[in-house]
Amino acid sequence: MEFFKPILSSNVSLFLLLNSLGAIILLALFALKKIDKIKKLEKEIRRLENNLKEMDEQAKIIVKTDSELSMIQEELDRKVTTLLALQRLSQNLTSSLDEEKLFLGIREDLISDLGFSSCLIVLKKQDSLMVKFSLEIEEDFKKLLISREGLDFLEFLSKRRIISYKELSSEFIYLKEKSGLKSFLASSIQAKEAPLGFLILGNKFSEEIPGGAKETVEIFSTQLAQSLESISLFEELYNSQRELEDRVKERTRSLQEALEKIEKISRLKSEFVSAVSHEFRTPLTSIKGYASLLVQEKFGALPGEVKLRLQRINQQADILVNMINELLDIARIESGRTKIEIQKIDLVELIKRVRDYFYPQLKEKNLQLILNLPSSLFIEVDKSLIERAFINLLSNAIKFTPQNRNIQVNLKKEDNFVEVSVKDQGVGIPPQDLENIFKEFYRAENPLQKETKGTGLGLSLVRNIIKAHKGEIWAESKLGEGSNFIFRLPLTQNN
Amino acid sequence: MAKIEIGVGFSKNPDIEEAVKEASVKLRSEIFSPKIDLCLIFFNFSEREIKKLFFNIKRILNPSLTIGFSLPLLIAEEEIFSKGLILVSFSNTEVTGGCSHLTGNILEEAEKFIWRLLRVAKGKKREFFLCFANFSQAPLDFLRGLERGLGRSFPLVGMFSWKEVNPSSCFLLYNEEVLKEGIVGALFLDNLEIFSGIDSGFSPLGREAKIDSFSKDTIYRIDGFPAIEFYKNYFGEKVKESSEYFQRVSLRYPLGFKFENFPNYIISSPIKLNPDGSLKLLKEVLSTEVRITIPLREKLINSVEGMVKKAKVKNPRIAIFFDSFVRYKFLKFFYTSQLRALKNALGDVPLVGGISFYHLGLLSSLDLDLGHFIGENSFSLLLLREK
Repeated sequence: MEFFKPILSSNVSLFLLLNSLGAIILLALFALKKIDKIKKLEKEIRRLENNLKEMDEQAKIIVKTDSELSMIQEELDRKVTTLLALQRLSQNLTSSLDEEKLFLGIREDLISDLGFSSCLIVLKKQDSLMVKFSLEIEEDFKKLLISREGLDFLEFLSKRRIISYKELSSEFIYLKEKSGLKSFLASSIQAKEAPLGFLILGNKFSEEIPGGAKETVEIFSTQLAQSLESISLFEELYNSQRELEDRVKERTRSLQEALEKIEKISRLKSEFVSAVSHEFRTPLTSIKGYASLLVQEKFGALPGEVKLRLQRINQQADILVNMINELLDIARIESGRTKIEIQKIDLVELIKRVRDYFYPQLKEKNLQLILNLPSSLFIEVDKSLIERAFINLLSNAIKFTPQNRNIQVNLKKEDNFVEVSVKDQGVGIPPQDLENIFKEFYRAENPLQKETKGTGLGLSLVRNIIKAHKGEIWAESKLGEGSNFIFRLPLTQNN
Repeated sequence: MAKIEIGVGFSKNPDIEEAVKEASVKLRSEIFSPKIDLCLIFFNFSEREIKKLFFNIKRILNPSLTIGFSLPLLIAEEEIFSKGLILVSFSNTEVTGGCSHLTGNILEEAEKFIWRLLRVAKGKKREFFLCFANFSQAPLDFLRGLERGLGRSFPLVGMFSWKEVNPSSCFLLYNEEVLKEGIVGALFLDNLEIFSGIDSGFSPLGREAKIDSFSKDTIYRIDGFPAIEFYKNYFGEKVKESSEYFQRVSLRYPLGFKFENFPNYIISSPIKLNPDGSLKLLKEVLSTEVRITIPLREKLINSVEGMVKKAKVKNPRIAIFFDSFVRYKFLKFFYTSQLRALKNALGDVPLVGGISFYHLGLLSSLDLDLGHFIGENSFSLLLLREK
């Protein structure tokens, strides 16, 4: 046993050695595997770290880009906001023509959107200054700017137009301190001829004047100047319109008075004519009666010369009686003393009857009377007056139409009216006389006129008769070709 | 108690007297109850004009309580307008209101204001608090003051204007009183069911970073470097050199804070770059995982639709939508597209609201127990109906 002891011991040792070796190898293998795993993990960590760094770098890029974009966006937003505020201010400033209301349109929020916290608008009225609008401006500063210093400042501004507080000249540098503002821009409100005042826009909390602020202030002050000028022009226009209206009213009143006077005179004239004519008619009837009897030689035969003279007296008396009768009729119609008796008549029948009256005269001058009439046309009129008017018109036509010509009478219905025209082929009426021929005693200038006898009252009477029937009459004429007298009458006479 | 009635009337008339008449008459025609317990007024008129408002409000509506807030832009249905007013009335509603100046210690003044309201409402169930404010001190102090009184999870919705960033004129109305710096609010004590949600629609971008050190509202180091390096990484050295550029960048690319099990990032814009490179936020640091975020138009618009879909209030009687000026600026001419999307999602529910620089909201409505939230680039949606 003893012999095997060393052998056994060496075998165990070897075994142990081998085992240990195996274990070491295994451990080494395991360690190598672990190292490999650790390396992989380390690699993964590094990768993740790199990813994280990369992500962080990307985040930096995103943030940087976003920051840059946001600055551009903010600038754009600011500009859009300013433009919107300017647009609203412009709308508000142009929507009022009242100076007091104009300044109500300058709202705090709009000033804020323009990028300012404070605003002051001072206007020059005659030789003094007045604060018309103020927002966040200290009272002392306002008082200062409406004093003599304000006028000097306005003069200074009117030369420079727009300045920032940094550009104040040494004589006005104190204004910065007095304003209580950290920054401001001042502009004159410049009209075409002279400055209307000045405008101050400022900030209480920021020394920085944003980019484009000068342009904004310029637009605002120009808009303000235009609005103030518009208001001033409107006021001028309004005042002159008022003045004109007053003058028109005054003129209308004096015309009204004159018209009343004329109407009164006309009435007196009608009354006078009526009274005189009346007074004339009685003796004239006697004269006419005796003259007629004498001409008829009822009081014995008369020498030829005497009879001839008496015949002339008789003829002239006839003319005078006609004239007086017409004058009386005109006066009666004008004064409304003629009672108009409306009845429904057939106008066609009336015209035909009048034609029959003139048969001898027509035959004598060989005139042809052409009637363009419907079969019947009923109308509400005073029969005797319309007959009279028609007789006068036809009589004139016959009187002024040379022999062997035509006279046309036309009658037509138009809506609620009838239109009658009497057209002759006479000498015609000069254009300058057309508007006067319906006046009393007016006689148109033409050679035939002198030859024909007339009172100058016939057409005036016709006009009065037509007017009394709410109708109208006018004449159309061409010299040498003839005249056309047209009258329109309503079909019915209400009231 | 009779059924709660909510009436809405609005007018775009630039003449305040006409606008009040138009809106009041429209509102009056919508409600049956003769008594109005609360009238909310959102308006955009100057201080000079605003005094003309009271007479017709009193004459036509005669509300028991009036609170109002001037806004640069108003929202009614699918429209956005810069001049006019919106009236919202609540009838048969138990509500208590008040006002306070915020000119001293803003935290204490806000807290005292809440305590005064709570005293009036003692023993009654409180539903939610609606408030509007205008002040010049730290907004976080204002929020903490409200939280001290109301608690961290009490529903709170409102808008405020911070004079440091928005120095333009802002007014508050409380009955017939006009406040320039202060708070006005109404505590609803009735059986109202509410949904209040906040979101922004901003999309995360780039790698996620870890906040190594912060305190309250200041981030000192991100990924081992001064916090500004995180922005420099994306926008270059200019963010360190120009405060104007930094403010522009931080407004457009706010930090998005990530939360476990919550898909949306809650965003916050650094309002100040400190000399040591740390960044000051308007609100507290919300979590330690941040990414840069970017406003993408489509995502901004989709986010409001998503909020309505998420709301648990079915058939609400009114939707009050407060949006931030930042989102309006980014959407600008596409803003009405967002309103159309919102209106489509809401259906027949009346939609009113406005745009201001900051609004308050209850962040826990997003299922996160984070208390209240100041949104400078987010929106708040408030849906109301009776229980």
